[in-house]
Amino acid sequence: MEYVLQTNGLTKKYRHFKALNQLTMNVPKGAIYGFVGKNGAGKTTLIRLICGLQFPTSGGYTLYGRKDTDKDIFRSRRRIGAVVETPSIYLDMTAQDNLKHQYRILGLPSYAGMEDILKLVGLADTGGKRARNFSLGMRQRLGIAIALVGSPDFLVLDEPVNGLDPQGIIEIRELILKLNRERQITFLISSHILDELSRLATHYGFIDRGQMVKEVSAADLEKACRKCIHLEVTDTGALARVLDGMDVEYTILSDREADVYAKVAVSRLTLALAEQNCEVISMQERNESLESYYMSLIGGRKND
Amino acid sequence: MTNILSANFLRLKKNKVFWGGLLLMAAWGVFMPVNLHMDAVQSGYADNIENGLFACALFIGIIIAVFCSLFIGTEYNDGTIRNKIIVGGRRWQIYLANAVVSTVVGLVLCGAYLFPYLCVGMPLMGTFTAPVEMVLLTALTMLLLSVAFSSIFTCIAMVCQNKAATAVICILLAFGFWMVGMVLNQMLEAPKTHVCYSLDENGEMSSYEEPNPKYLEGTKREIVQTLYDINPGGQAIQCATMAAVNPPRLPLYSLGIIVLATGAGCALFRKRDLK
Repeated sequence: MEYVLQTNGLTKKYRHFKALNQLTMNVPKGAIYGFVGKNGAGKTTLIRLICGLQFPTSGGYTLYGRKDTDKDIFRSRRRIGAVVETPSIYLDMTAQDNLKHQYRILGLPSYAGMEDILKLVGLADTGGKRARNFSLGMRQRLGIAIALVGSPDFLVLDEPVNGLDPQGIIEIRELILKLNRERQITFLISSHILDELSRLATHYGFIDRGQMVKEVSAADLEKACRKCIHLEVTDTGALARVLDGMDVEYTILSDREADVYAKVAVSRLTLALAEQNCEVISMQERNESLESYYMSLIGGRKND
Repeated sequence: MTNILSANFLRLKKNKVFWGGLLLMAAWGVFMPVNLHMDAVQSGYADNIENGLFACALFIGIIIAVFCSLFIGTEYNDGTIRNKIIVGGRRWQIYLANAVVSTVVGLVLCGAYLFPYLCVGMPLMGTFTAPVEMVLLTALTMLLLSVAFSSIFTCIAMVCQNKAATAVICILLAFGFWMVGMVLNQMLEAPKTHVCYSLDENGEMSSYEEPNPKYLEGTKREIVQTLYDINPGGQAIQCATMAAVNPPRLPLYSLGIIVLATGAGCALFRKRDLK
């Protein structure tokens, strides 16, 4: 698999506080990588490091195959765009002037494509309105528009829907999906709004106290989170025989517990188990969400 | 660096502080010679054009302090300095681009005062009475002084990440330079002797000269003079009054300040963690 970003034992210390502790993560090309963690877990610190705003205390990262210590790492940075925390926009300038400024920074020969970018983020008709008078959602979209100047292959968005109204959240989500599908832009999105992230992400990285707890693809996460019936029985051997007979997918968890991944007729199942001298002690429907998965991961670490 | 520089100039074109400063300096450049001429007409004394030519040196530091703290401070306040780094702009390039813009602004502001002053002043007061070399050397000193002010305030604005704090530090420092310059000037201007008066036995008053204990001599005077020459505030007073004791030294001190402030600022900014 080709990776846009890989970190290796990345550590960042602020005096005695370790914001990142030996963090290792891998962002595959073309992915929408959801970077999940609570406030203060180290999400923004990692983003600041990979954007070159801060320097690692130890460890390193590779961006498009170039190490952060390479002299020409700035060439890899040319391929990225980012909105870190609040959108970086001149408040006393119009949307168009903000974009023109970014075009100049990148040394682009003309302002070609500027109108398209403004249209894409829905700011084409803001005219002479200064960014100071924009709504939070408009500022966020302008921040993304600036990040899109120069056609980056990798966009880093730090809490992109924080503080947005439902309409704004939908707009940002649709924009991200559109850019990922149509322009094959890889995204790294940090967020603690899990429900929103679950609608976008193709990969997840769960971070806690500066460490990567787990990296998982959305497909694997779906498998782990899929609907099931949790059964507690007196004999899982008998249960396995009955379920095999019914051609139903299941996982034996212990000698008394199992998860069944199908809707089964309860009376038929209990009768079949009774014939095998197996009693059903309890039966629960489970539907683990990203939120409960996250809580079981982070909560589990808390109890360590 | 040219890309970042080009972006900075694009922003400068729309910067209200810059245009405000420019208008202020130009208006002052018109007002000064007219005022000097009116005074000369009223008092009957002839006035020289060079008397107020470099008066802007007194306040150029304060105007540059305001400009640098607001122009560069906005980059931190609005977070836009991140856009330059994220897309691969190198830190020294970003620093130097801001230093160049501040320098250009400083020089343009000086020009905005000098040009109208000469245009209005020459028809009213005639040409220079002072030697041309001295006028040119003072002009060079003032221009380098404005670059030195720009370097100092760029250094502060680039290292301090808080716009309000930057503005307070820069403006206080500009006034501080000026006030220290005034104090040093007073120390150096103290007369060698002063006249004392006494009453004799007959009740008649007599006067005699006595050495002034506040008059600086020897090494002490040299040290204070050097500090006065190095201090941008002291240089500003010497430019404005065209009364420099060591005229050729002043541009050299300014050059030293420019190199030191830019070098230190660039080195600090390169290692700084940005929020």
